Amino acid sequence: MGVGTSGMKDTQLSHDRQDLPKSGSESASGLNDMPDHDLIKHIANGKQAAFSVIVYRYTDRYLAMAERVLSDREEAKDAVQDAFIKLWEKAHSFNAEKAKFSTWFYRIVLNRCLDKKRKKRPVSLPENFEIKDESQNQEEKLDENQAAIKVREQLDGLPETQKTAILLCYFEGLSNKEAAEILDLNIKALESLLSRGRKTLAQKLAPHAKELLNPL
Amino acid sequence: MSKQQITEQRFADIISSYGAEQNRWPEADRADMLAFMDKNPSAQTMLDEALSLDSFLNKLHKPKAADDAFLERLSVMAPPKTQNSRQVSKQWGFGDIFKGLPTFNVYGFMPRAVGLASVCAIGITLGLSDVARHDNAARSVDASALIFGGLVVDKDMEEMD
Repeated sequence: MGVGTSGMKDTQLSHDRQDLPKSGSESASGLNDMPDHDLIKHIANGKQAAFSVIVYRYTDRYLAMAERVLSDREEAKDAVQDAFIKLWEKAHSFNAEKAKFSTWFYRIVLNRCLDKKRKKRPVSLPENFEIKDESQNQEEKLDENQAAIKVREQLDGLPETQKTAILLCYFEGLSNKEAAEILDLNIKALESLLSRGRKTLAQKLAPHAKELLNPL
Repeated sequence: MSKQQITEQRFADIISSYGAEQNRWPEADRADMLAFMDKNPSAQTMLDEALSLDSFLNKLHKPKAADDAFLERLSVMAPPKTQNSRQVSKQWGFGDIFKGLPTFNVYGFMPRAVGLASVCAIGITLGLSDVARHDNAARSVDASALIFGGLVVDKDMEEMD
């Protein structure tokens, strides 16, 4: 199990690294077992070894989230890197009494991801572009990979807030309270986003239900 | 266990938001949700509907873990903190003389100050050497006085008289 102290569900912590910086380095002297909030204090004081421990502890988790939000591995890496730079610069602004580190940092990574998405220029479609009738493809056979792509496409097509809410609650395994905090919403608003997102997804994926549930 | 029994509407809302998998339901409602399912066979229909979407979402691949090169790059990218470099410059320096003065580029002024100080130093040196020259002249007069002292002085005194 990871050494994170975020209190996240076990299934999610499986993302966290076991191969933290090797012993013998400065970081090995007790930092590896240190709770997040103490490490952040060290980072605020400029201790690079503490920063390194946080990087090894959490990169997998946040990179996975960024990749799901951006649907692009390299963009996700950039976003995570930017977020860690921000952590290095702004560690002093973290208040352990107000939030858990993992929740606070989710918000930083998520904001970096959303900034990147906003900066991406929308692709302009040609005037004679025709929207493909999805229902025509019902007989199309999908393998596991194609099924994943199909679900991915529909998820990406959701409004940003709905998609993010689903990603945080469904894939990151965050509690509704944590997800609401990250999105700066109350629980009721979060549940409304989740419900609408899931409904839209269900409608869009319904024509492919047979292929998705029984792939080649 | 929450104090309030869960209603059918709340049950439907939770399924609609979080899906059919129990571990995704809000912890505070989970026990009530299970109790509601025991008492209401119709609840299973709602669960089945939600379950198909859960199955679709489970098709998505889990992103790969970060590669070692990326982790290494991240862990060493933290530059020394500005705070530390400030601590280094805390050692007392020439610039501290100007502390508290209005915004003033001490380091831009330094070359001029050095130039000015050099000019002053040269001036003082020249001045002192001039004084020394006069001093020597005076000393030689004193020496003459010592040698021819009495006569000269007396002669002068006589002339004055």
